[in-house]
Amino acid sequence: MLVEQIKLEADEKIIKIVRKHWFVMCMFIIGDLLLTLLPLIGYFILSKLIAELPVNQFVTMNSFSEFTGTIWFFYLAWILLMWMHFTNHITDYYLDLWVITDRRIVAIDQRGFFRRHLSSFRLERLQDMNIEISGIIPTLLNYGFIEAQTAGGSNEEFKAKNMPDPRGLKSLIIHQADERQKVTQYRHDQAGL
Amino acid sequence: MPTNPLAPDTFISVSLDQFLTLVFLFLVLVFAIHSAIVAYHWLTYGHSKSQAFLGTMLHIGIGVVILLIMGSIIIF
Repeated sequence: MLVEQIKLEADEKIIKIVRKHWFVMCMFIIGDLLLTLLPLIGYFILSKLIAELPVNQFVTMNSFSEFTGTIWFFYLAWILLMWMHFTNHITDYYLDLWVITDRRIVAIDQRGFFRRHLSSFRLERLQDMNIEISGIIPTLLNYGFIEAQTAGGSNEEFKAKNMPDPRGLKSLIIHQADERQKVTQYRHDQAGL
Repeated sequence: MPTNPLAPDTFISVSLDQFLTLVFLFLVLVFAIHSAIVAYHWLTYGHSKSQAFLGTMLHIGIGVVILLIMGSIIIF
């Protein structure tokens, strides 16, 4: 499982596991639901149009009813494909996360099934954190972009969109980084004595 | 180059039922592979075993129900 994958150090504690905001998942659900209903809506519109056509003595509703079973078969196939598509979104959402421990931050970026990017930085290396909440919905639901800047390293891996409560997350990480600095400084002083 | 028209028996004729069965078998194969990949990812990289197990079972369960209805449409 995840804990074995990120290989926690001895005495390292997980403070928080953060996934993207639930609204992002809701948007996926609504999108997939609309796509699932699309053929059904198309079928009813087509049925109405055919019923109103002047040639309806040739193409009647009987033409449709002869193939009702086949139409349902293909509609169910479409539902199955949409279900698999939805599962892909869930997998992305479920496996894409930040793990904040008392020593480091582990950022896991799952892109599709076969591309997984895992990066981490120690809290001592944290220099600054930026957050950005832009737009009406992100402001109302309190989610946004968060970026951690680290000393001497590229911060490309430590950017995440649609994170919930960016201000709270920022203060939590900065607090943990300060605590970590104190512990490191204490150990350093002890070693110097 | 053959100049004679093709004999009718050289065409592969597939009835609607056979075509639906082929589509069904193809979807069963795709769904089985997809489910195996999903289950592997959730059970390997998920942070809670119970959540991952429940999610996998839900995914497979709903998929199997859809496939069963499709199969019953072909049979009946």
